[in-house]
Amino acid sequence: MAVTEDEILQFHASLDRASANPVFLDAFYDSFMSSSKDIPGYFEHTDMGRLKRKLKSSLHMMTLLVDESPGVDMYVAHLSRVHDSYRIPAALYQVWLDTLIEAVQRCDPLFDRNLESIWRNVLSRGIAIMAAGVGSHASPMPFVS
Amino acid sequence: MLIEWSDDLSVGIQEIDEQHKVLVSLVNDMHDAIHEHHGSEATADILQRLAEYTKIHFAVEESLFRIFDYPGYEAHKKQHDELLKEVIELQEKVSSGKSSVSFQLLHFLKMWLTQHILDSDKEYSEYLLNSGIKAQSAKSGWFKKLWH
Repeated sequence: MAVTEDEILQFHASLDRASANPVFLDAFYDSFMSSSKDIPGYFEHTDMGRLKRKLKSSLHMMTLLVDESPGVDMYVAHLSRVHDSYRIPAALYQVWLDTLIEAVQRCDPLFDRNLESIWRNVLSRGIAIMAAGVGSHASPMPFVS
Repeated sequence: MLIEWSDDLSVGIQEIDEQHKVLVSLVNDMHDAIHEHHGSEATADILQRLAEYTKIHFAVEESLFRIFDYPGYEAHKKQHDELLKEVIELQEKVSSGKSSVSFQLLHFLKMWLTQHILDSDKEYSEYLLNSGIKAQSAKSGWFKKLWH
């Protein structure tokens, strides 16, 4: 579903409100980590502090995808190949999205069904590209073949 | 110019900044070559230089990671391996005429470079600087002069 400029603005406003809540990042990552017994293993050697700091820039990247900024889809496809080298299954991307939205719901006081729909629409393209990258690590780059 | 060098892109270690500037300059050269219609041979040549210089640059960074026992070595090397694999694949396709450098691809290279510097390289530079690497190492013989 196409995302409007107003919806992008609502997405950023919701993200700013959620981020203003000091528990937001911990709420999200704690919930994500405990959502499956397999997940902590993927982050065994990850600097979680850094990962938390990077969340906002990752989400910004997702909004650039919606704007169809040139090269962003290729870059996200590249990220999906890097993630695939860790053998992350496609289903985890959906779990990531669901737990992120739960954390936003908890931390954005203005969160409602409409905002949930906006969050899902904005992030769906990025999630689809990341999930489509599963198994791509050993394959040639799709955009240069 | 596609990428303008700014202090935001500096990792605080002179030699690494100098190498990053070379990579930025190569991506800018490719941008100019496309805009000025220099032809596919010119873009293929620049891409080849980009691939070669990237290989050298990554090798330098990875040497530093080993010397300073950087804890993020494995994860960073994984990113290097993927980036290098992609740029070499791309370079081979362009050299053989199976692909050309498009506007999309140019912007991908821009993001590829700037995001890697901003996200990953700044992380290791902070560690290296805290571990005693010199911020200002002279370009000639820089490797011997890294230590305080």
